[in-house]
Amino acid sequence: MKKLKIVYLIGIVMFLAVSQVQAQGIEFFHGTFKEAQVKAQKEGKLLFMDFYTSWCGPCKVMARNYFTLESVGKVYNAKYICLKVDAEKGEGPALAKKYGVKVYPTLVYAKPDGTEIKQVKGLKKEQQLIELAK
Amino acid sequence: MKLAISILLTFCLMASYAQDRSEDGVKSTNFPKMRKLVNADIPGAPVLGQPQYLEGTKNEIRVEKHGLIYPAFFDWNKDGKKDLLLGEFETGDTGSFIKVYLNEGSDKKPKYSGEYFYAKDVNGDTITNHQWCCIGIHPRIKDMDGDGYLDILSGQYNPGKISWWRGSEKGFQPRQFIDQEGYVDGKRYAQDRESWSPEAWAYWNYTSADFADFNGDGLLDLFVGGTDGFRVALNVGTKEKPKFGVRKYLHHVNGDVLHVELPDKKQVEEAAKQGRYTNLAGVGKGYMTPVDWDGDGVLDLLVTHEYYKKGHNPIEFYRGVETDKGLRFEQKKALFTEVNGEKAMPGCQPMITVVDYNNDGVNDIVMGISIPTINSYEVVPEVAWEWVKKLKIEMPGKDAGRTIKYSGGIEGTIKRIESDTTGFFKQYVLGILDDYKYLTMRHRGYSFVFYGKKNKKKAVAKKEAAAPAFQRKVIVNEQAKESNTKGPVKYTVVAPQRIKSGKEMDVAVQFNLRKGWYLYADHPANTAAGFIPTEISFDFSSELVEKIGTLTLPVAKPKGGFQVYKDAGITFAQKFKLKRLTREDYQAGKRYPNAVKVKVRIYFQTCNNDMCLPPEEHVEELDAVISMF
Repeated sequence: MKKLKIVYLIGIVMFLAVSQVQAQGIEFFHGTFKEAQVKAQKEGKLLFMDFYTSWCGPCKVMARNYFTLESVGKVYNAKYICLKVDAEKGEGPALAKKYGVKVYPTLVYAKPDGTEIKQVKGLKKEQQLIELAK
Repeated sequence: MKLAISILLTFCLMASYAQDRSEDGVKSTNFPKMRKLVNADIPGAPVLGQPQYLEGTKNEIRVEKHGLIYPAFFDWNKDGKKDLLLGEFETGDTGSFIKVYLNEGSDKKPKYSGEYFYAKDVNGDTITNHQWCCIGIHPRIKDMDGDGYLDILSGQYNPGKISWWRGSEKGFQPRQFIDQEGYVDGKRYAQDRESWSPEAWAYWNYTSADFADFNGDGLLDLFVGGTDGFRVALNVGTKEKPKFGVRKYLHHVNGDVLHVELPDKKQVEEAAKQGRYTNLAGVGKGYMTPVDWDGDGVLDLLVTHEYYKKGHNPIEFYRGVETDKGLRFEQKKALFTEVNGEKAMPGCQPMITVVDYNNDGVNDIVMGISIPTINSYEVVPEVAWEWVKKLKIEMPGKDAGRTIKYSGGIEGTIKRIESDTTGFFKQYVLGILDDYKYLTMRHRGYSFVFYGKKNKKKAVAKKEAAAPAFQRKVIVNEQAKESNTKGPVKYTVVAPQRIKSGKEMDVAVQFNLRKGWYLYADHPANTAAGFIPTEISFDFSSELVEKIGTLTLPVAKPKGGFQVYKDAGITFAQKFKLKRLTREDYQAGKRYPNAVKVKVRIYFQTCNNDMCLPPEEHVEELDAVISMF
């Protein structure tokens, strides 16, 4: 009975783990730009920045509906250190200025040293996001 | 007792009409010697003889009260002879009556004793209509309803009703009014509306009337002069029930508005800046006599008016021309002038009627004209031959001789003149005349007959193509400032150009968004989600401006659980008015500034389905001039 309980528990844990993996969208890095750069360098990845603001509706839609998709998360998490940048808070304004961001959302793809690779404006959906990541 | 009261009342009325019938027998002295006149060369038009003073065998034929005189002819006593009617001008609801002088001669050679009675209707009521400065009852004798009986019609000062006394077997029916499109009894007409709109005071004011068929439909149309110039109102009713349509300007063949004198363009522009419409006829107290004067089968106009300044002529002739755009008129031509180019007639404000006075088959003209007298009946030729405008004296209606009683008579008036160091009062009563003897000056109406003789030259009707009629433009009391924003949001601030105290005005911001873009409304759902509502606020530089009510917001539309402004018609508006300065304000030294600065703060943040732009703040300023008009 005890054994059964453990198996059952393991089952639940595994299920949760699997389901979590399945629901895995973009995993955003929590740290400064600098720290992200270091991490990208170390892991041989590029930088992905989502510039948004608190009053931006399309930003919220994109974050809620597309960044959470596994198909998107898989591509971005593998290739990028991903940052969410509130353009009006913390180091956001400086970064927005650095990349000339005036429209929200703006997605910036950059090298670990910060050099911009490309920049796109406006809400992008699943396929567009996947294409852009390539 | 009743009789005593009625006698007393009659006496009071007589006194207030400024006419003393016991003076009817008093003759005018010092009557001016007429000047020699020459006819204009108008083929087909009667060749007019020198004016013959129309005198009664016993008493003078003249009109008192304010001295305007409107001649007309009608066989009052049905003896087959034309009798003379003279319309008077008195201020008020009653008092402008019609004098009837019975013809004691023949129809071919009329003779009048000078004795008269006042025209009455079938009920025995004296025929009269409300008049004010400065127009009197002007009897037009026409068969308006085509029932075989001549009617009496007249216009009036304000509100411009057309009085109609229908003729019948038994005499004239009590007065009725002819319907006019746009006329509403008791309505307060706007001072600042375009003058050709029936909403405007100027449209109705000083309605001088005469009648003829303008468009050949067999109905008599209204030819109306006055504050807004010369117009025609087509009879849109029936014979039995005439109704006059909207008054439309008469035009020259070249498209100009029919005029005696076109106003100076600069003046028109200056007036427009202040929101005022200029009378394009050049005269405000004008009368038209529509008649085929040159016998070419086309209606012409004889126009009389103030006749008060150099360049004016007693009668202007406007030849009618049938054009592709209807009846138009050639430029004015003085019917006659003085042989040396001097003033042709003594006095001012002539009124005429066209009549075959001597039954010779050719039209004659009988003219009434206002001539100044002093000390009751002493004509003053030096004033009569001079222009009223040059002397700066008043036209009939405000004569010194009738107004000085309000200043304590002659004595009181002289005292007042001498104590007024500014000289304004002196000019008001005397103009530039420098003798107190003129303080008794009053205009009186006298009549003249101009006998017409057959013209050897014949007129042949012309057919011409007319230029498009000049279209007047509404002065829009509005200024607009466009935004200089770069993105998908454009806006226009709209404010009045002129404001005047007491009148409610609107200032507004109108947004124009590129397709798909929207602004957020001030709504809890929006603010809870962190969205930025649009903010508009108006400020005025003067404490004399008072906002009325709150800001009027555009209609918000739902979008994904939020409230947004999108598409067309996004307008924020604020009502306001300029306070009236009270006596206390003035005493406290408060004055209106020349202009009020309207300051608008505009704050918005826009998005479409894909993206958002950062919020923008703009401040716009416009000057609204304070107008006293």
